[in-house]
Amino acid sequence: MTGRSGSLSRWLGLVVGFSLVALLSLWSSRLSIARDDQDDEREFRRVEARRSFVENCLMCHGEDMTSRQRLTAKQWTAEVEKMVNWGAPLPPDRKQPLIEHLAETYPSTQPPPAVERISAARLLELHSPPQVLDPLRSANLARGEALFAIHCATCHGPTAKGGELGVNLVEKPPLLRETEFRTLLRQGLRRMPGFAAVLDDQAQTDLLAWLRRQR
Amino acid sequence: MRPSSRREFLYRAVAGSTLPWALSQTAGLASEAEGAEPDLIVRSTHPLDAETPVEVFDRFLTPNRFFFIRSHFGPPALGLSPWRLEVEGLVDRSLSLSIDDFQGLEGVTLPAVLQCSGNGRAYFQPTIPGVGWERGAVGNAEWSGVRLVDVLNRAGIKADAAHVQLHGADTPPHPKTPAFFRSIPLARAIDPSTLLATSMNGEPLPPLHGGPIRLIVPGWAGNHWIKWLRKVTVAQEEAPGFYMQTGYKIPKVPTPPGVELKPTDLKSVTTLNVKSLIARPIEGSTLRAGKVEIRGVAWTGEGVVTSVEVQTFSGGPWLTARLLEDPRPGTWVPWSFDWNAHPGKKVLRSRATDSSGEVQPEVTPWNRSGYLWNAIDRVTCEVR
Repeated sequence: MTGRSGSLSRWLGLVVGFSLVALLSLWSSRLSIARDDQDDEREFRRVEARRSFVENCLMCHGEDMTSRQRLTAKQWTAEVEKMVNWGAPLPPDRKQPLIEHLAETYPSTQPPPAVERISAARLLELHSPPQVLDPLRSANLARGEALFAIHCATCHGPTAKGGELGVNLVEKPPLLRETEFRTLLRQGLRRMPGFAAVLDDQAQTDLLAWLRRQR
Repeated sequence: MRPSSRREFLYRAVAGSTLPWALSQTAGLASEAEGAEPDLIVRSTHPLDAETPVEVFDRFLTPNRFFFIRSHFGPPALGLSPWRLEVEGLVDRSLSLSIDDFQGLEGVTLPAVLQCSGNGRAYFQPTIPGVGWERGAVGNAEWSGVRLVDVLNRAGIKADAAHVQLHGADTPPHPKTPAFFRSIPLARAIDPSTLLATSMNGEPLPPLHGGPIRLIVPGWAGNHWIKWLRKVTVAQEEAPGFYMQTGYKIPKVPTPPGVELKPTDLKSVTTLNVKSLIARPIEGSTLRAGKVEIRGVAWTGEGVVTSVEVQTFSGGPWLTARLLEDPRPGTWVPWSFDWNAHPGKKVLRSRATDSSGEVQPEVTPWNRSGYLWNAIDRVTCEVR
């Protein structure tokens, strides 16, 4: 006969067993929450650094100018500081996270990226200046100047040669590609808002004509 | 090619030996156009930096469509107004010239090698930040235009002039970014080989290569060959600013990484150093055993290349290659080596020597900007 002490010790064993299992799963779920938190934190930092890069670097140059480099943390620090001195509008509190992200993503220990090629024909096609420019005879230059001062100068500078958040536009190739220019004005790009609600076709013409005159 | 009396006039001004070689090479290229063309290598999309595939260097002239592309900030929008070249500063009279105004000056055509100071930067160890050029940021073209000295003499150079400052339309994207503004010493400016070029390989100078006017400075690195030239200012001083005073400097004496250098320890990158490239076989190719022609080019900054040697296996002897032309200053000399290729993995190397006695080193001394890499060239291939 098991008797009371037998069933008691079995009951105690079950309780201890279950408690141990409960404790273990609580502990491991806390660990995995902690790991998830760490992953979330890392992912958050990565997304933030990526956003810093897109918003503050790509206005002046393409992504591959950065992503093709393989540098030490010290070298990345020097490069980012040089870019800030040269006008990159990177807020001070975003600088260190960006440097860390770049040093982590493109370290000197990683092999160089795969070579990217382009045919001579395609290169010429992409970069040849347009053959014919619409003289924009309907343009009102005075209106273009005024529109620029109101809508564009805050970012692109009073003379369109670049400012806090906008690049130098003077004698730059996008001015020659009218369709692209209008699309850009309407839709915006990254930190540049779209002006579709504010600038109709004629306003776009006036702006383009004025910009083309600047030297 | 459309014949034009102006082009014929320019060709007549060329030393006789250039003409038949140049034309035969150009004619050869026309028929090659039907076959598969090699691609250029993109080092940066915007601003565009693209490198020539080295197999294109198996001929004297580098065709315009394959010529490497480089600028600091990208080409300007052309065609918004007629191009003018201003000449001002320490001159008797300022000038504002259109391209047509060049007609009154003697036309000059000469072949010259253009090499980016950073060609080969990718090979320096430890790694150096910057455009990661490998072997192809170089090319040889026939440049036509007028002499800079003839334009300066028309303006009248004043006695106290010492430098010529150069303004090109390679303009920065932001007011805090320094302009690509440089100068050359007066002695170099008045050298008869320093040209204002308006044609490249017989065509109007393409926009991607600095058209309508760029500076040609044979024997000196590409940082002097200012594209989209707008203004020339004769002055007592060098151009101020980053790209002249800080950029394009190398140590006077080779210095390892980590050593802090003072401005007085540095000198400007000017004259190119001696260098050769193997155009074919191309890296990683598989060849049939037997007779293989190894082809390449060699050049130097001052003087001429006097010999090119080739090594066809690790530890093997250095054997003399055949120079296919009389070497001339400022341009390169194509060379050829008849190799009897036996099966196996082979490392081919080429080493040039110039008239100053300079020889390509095993490794170019490190400098923090990665300039003037000129180590012995090397190609690995498999022979079956």
